[in-house]
Amino acid sequence: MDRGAEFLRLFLQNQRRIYGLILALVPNGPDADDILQETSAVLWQKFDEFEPGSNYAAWALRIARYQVMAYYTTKRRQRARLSDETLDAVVERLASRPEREDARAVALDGCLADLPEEDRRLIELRYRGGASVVDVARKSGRTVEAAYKALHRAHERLLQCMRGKLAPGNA
Amino acid sequence: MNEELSLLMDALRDGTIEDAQVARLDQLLAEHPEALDQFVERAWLQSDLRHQLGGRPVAPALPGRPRLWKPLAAAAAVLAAGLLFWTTKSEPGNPSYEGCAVLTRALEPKWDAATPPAIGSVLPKGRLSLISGSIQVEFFSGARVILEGPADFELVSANEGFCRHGKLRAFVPPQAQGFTVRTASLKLVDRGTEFGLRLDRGGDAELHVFQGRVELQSAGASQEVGVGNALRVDAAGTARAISADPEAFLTLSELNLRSTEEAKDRYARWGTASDRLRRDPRLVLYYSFEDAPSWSRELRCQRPERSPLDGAIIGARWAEGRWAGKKALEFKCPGDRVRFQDAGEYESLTLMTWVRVDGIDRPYHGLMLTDGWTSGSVHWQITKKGLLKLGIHGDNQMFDYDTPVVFSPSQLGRWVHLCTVYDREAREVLHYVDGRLICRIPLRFDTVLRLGNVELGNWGVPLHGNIYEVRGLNGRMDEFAIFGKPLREDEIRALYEIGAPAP
Repeated sequence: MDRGAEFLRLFLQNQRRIYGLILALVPNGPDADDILQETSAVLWQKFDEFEPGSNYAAWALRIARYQVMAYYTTKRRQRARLSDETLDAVVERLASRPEREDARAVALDGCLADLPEEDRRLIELRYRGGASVVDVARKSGRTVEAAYKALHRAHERLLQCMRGKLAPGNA
Repeated sequence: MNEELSLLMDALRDGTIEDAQVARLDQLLAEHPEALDQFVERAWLQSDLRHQLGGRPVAPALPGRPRLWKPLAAAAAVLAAGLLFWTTKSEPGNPSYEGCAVLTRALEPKWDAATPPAIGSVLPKGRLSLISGSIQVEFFSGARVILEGPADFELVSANEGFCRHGKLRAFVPPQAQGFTVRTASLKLVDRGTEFGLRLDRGGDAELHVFQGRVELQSAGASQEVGVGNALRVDAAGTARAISADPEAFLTLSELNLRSTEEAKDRYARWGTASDRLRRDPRLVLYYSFEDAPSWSRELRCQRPERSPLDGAIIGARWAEGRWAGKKALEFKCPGDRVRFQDAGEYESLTLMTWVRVDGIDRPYHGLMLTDGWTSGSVHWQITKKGLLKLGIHGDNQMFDYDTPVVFSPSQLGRWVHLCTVYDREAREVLHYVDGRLICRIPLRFDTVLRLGNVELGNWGVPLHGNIYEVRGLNGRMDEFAIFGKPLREDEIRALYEIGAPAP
């Protein structure tokens, strides 16, 4: 197969997972997207080093992790950061999850449709609007603490629904 | 999911997390495997939600040099997948080149450049500085430009040029509409045309439109100049009509005619020199590729009588060489080769050939290789990386005398003069490309060279039974010589100059 096409296929199959790692480690804003872009560029440059047949997600996530660390160093946005061991553990755990991204997308569509109206509104505020928890609190007439809890519940419902839909046998 | 973990992740996302909270998050993840699972699950969900609700697509841009054709298919596939995604880098490991045009003809060009471009080579962005003579440049867009020196013209893109001074005639087919030539004060945008531009060093310009229309922008104003019209614009931007003069600009057919005549002259001059060369006493073998009729499967060497030095042609076909009418052999299929035999032993050797390498798509591309790989073997070949390699096998050791990269993709498809000297007395190997010494490497060990059974354009030893590695030349050869002595630099330079297909 054409190397360019092979790269795209693997990247597209794993880009949400890669972006997930970055989003979980980097504050909201354009930085996460920049890091994803840089990561995709590095993945492309180093694609020759990727051994066909080996775990692409693990390889790509390790590279994404280094891009995040490079970002920490240059931006110094965060004085404290997660330890290297923890980052390794996160990368390894994320890489070992077997779900397919296309199956997750279908499951998430279904779960969003099933979500209670108020939870859906919070999720929309946070992800479509990119609102901070403080903004979510203001827009939904809650205290900040209540907003954290409400967001937690909404995520928890989504995750439970996703687990059900993605469980082996339900695919 | 643990409520505390959720809060910490949200705080991290919002950038409001405190140092103590980061430490707490680290501790949770390190000590509680279930927290790690939840963290990972939530991380992936956040990404899914951004993708599905985020509104703006995540658009990784792959950096690097633009490539023209390959990414289109890949990009189309991605666009079909509903993603905004554009690849501009070449595939890793695959050859790529930078360019916006091809130099297709030159008539007595005198360049103001250290390394003038060769005919047939890809021209990257940048300046073309002609002291005199004329050249034909074909932009990748399809626009063709004839430039008459003295001229200073810069290639800006596949469809745009910048003229500092000089005379040019542009032919723009419909698919290149919008072809643009700028000067310091003017911008000419083609609207389906043939036009001439003359720009003197003082900035005065003349625009002649021979076909179609040209949009002329100067000093913020824009006007269209139609067929048969001409304008003179001075450096201050004042324009006045003059009469169009098609005779003043060299046309494609005139350039073709004149350069064809020049090529005939060169071919004839080389023929005389070739006849002289075949009497050189230092020759072991010389193929001019000229004597044989086109049905022949034999390549006659310099000797009048038949000899094992006459090459047997296997597979390779007769084709056109450096000039119209000049014969060459084309090596394309894996089996194509020429075989000859020589019983001599040599202290020193000079190998010389004119080749047109069409592709470097195999690990090795044989120029001249002795059968096998044993004591005294000589393997002269081009590698996939584009290096010229002289492999020498001694009694118990072997060494590859490699050049730096000679064949970059933009060098493919043009005739190149290669010459390698194994000089046992001076204890060095010298590689020449187009008459120029490009590297000199001290001998690693002492050995006598033996030719024996030899192949041109391939390597004659099967790996197992009848299984051969693909090591053939992909291209043409139209002159080949082996000298039993080291040739001097000035002699090699002269061989190149008399054989160069164009100045």
